[in-house]
Amino acid sequence: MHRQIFQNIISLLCLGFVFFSCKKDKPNAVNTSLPKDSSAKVLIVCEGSLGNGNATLSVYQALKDSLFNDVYKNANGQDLGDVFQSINKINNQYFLCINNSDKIVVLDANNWKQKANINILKPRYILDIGNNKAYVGSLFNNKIYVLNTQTYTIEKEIIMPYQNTEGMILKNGIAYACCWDTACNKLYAINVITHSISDSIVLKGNAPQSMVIDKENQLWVMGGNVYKNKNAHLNRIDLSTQKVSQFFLFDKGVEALKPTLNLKADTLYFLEVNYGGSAPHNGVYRMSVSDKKLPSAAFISCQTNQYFWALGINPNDGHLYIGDPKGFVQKSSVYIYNQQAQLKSQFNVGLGVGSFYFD
Amino acid sequence: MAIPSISIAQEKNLQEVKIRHKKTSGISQDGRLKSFASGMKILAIDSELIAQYQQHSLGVLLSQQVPVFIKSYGINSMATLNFRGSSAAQSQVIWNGIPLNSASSGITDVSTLSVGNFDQIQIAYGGSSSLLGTGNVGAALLLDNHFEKPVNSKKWNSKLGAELGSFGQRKWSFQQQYASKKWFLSAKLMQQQADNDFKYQPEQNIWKKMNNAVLHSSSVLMNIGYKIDQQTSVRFSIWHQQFHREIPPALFEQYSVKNQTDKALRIFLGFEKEYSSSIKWYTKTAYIKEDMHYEDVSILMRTQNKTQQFYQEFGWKKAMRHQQEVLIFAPITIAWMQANLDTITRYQNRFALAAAYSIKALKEKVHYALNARFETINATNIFLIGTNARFAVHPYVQLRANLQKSYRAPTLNEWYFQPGGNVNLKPEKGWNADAGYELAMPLKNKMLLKHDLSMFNRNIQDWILWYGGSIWTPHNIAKVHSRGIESFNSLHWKSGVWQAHLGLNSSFVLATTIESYQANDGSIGKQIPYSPRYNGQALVGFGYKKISCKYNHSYTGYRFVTTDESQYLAPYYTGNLFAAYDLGLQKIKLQINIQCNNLWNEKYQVVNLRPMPLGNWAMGLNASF
Repeated sequence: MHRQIFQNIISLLCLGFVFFSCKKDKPNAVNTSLPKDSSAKVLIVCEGSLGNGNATLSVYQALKDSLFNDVYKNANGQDLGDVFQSINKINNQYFLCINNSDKIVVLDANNWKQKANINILKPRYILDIGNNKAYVGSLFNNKIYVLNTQTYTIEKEIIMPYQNTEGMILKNGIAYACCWDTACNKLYAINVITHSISDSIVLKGNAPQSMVIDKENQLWVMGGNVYKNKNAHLNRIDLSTQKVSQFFLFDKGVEALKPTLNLKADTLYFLEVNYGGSAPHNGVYRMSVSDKKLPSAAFISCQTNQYFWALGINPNDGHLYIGDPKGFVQKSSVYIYNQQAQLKSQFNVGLGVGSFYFD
Repeated sequence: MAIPSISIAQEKNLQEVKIRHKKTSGISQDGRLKSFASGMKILAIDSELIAQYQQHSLGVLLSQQVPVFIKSYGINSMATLNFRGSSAAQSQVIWNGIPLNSASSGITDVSTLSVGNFDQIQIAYGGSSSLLGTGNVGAALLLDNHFEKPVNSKKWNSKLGAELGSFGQRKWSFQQQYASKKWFLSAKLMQQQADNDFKYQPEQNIWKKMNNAVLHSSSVLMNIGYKIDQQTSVRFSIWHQQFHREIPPALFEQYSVKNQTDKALRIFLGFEKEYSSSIKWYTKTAYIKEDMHYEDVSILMRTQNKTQQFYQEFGWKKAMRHQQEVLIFAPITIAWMQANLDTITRYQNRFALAAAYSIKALKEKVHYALNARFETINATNIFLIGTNARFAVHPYVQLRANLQKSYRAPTLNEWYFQPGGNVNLKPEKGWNADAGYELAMPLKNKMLLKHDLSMFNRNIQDWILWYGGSIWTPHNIAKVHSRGIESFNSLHWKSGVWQAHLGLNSSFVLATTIESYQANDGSIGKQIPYSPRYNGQALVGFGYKKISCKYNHSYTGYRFVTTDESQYLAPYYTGNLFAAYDLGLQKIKLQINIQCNNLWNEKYQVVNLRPMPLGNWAMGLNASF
């Protein structure tokens, strides 16, 4: 009898523990709405985490303080791909360079629907050169692709002396292109009619990466590759003489990235990144275009275990948009500061915020 | 010490079943666990399951039979262990008492370990850093080989296995064994090839065939045991394996030309001497060399990582009056790595002195153990302590409890990998407690009910997590709290030539970040990535004379890709069927088997955007003579 009771108790206990359930497992649903009006927008490039295929596009409407995350997937029902590197608007279409998925996704700017999917090796940046043509730089190869932005076909390949075409800029009918290769110390000028290299400018420092043009029509070129022992540097180039007028060399180990100019184009902003998330050389830095030396202190410093990965200035109000990727393992934060370094607003977007496109 | 078994198929008759929980069969060959881990939950994989999965990897066996999450990056890619919400580097794999985890990455790729290479496979749950070594936080996977003549073994024994399966899978193995009173020699050769060109669905209404997924692997393992006299024995193993794997494209990739070659050489030498019935000493020496070569020509990447490890352990054990035992041992590990882009050879040296004490009392109803370890890792000194106990409260019911201090030093990669290594990384520290009970109760003389339940609680300070964009860097993420419940349940029935079993295993794990060093960290209160909360298996099997049939159905719950739970993967179920027919010829035992994996054609991904194969078949032939 006792044995029977014991067996029954044990059996009940077993059943109870076998079918335990302690916490709801299914995550909550997410908002899937899309931006529908044509007011000014900030398109936020969320790279995603390399190898996880979780790149996304977020859209922020500053005037209405409205945020829309994962816009591409909500409009098209599929994932964008792996490593969303950059975006550009050409002929009322957004061209999204999805680097590690080897494609450019073309979206209709009116409804966010995909119009085309262009297979292209490791696209990084796309430059509109007019006449329904654009240049596409590519990582790990030495080509610039000439893309027809109406037919979405590659019309020509420009062979560059070095691999990794990164920053490109159009000025006076000439496209200037950086080859982010540690052996390269030149900036290449490309004739956009013949699509051939017409000239080159010798730089101080190797591995040029990105460019901006200031109010005095001086071209600023930022480059370097810290992990390949090439210090970060800035060249200021007088385009009329094609000579370097100013050269700034960063300290060894300092990673300097993503130069941008304010509305008047008289102040240069850039990021210094410490991937370990510690000071110094970690935050947003700024300098006047007439300064003779690099800034020693951050304009906006990162906190401990933080680094910034995106920087933009809204042409409508001059506010700084700063992206904290939070290690590319969770939603990124975007912080909006005014020119007095006062935080005005903040919100969360997709993984790995990398850049802002002001439309 | 009782060890719950996950299958009854090897039970020969009910009488044996009835007393199984009092027997010591299946207890680890590791002397540390034998006497000083009675309060730990130790799961022994049934020998028949080892035979069933001999052509498969440990990852496949564990994911189908044990409620543990195996993080498989897809066909031909790495598979790592996740016990009780621990990271891959927090679970040790120990082969014949030697830690196998890579000194550079701290992990073991269980997709490269073939089940057929081992004679005994066990899981020691919960932390046991003071006993089994630092780094053992979630659990230890113990892989052992025979060095003595197994019970009922013939002098000469040969085994031949072959398997053909879907996607061009071709596997074969051969084992030759010689066993006498003094000598034991065993040589195991294994080889497999596969095209792995399975169909998958990258988008709605689009099917593709997987490419760049060819696998070639081979391994040779030789074990030699020699008894010099009744008190003295020598053991020697040499194990070489090579895996060449093409790595197929993930769903976000248009193509892949990646490939990886892993080579490993492991040499083990052990010596053991008993001075009397109460004193024994031993030494273990091992040398492990690993060479990983990864190539992706599309991004001009060629990476080579060479790691070497020397292991030495001296131990002295004494049995005393009143069923007390003491073990003092001194393990030394010297590991060095030549990493890609790093011109300096990096070292990690560990010198430890450890002691363990155990006592049995109340007519062996209580077994208590206390363990402590002092260790120097490079220039850091640490002290670890642990205690565990088991209490037989009833002939059918035993209680157990285990409390351990945990510690894991950063690995060589975490410190020095170029680019991204972080020399400022702090070690992971914490406490690990678990308790449970097990029940083995005969029902109406024909059935046996087994039930085992464990609860655990673990706090780890300075949990290490790799993150980053183009440059990945390991960081400490403050504090992670893991807790959960596991249950193992089975019901076995045997009558005449019929036998049947039912099993139901489950685990519930909450592993959440509770403190962070990061500003505005969205991971607070959220589950650690790739650590499913729910996991379980249902197992059904029957046997009739020479026919046996087994089915397992596994469930794996939501896995979060991100630390803030903003991206996740859907749960999946897989069903696997195994049927075998034994042909008993005069001098040859033959078994023909057929397997169907993923029987219900579940479309699933264990890791984000890495598709797994749909239903597939394999047919095997095993001969023993």
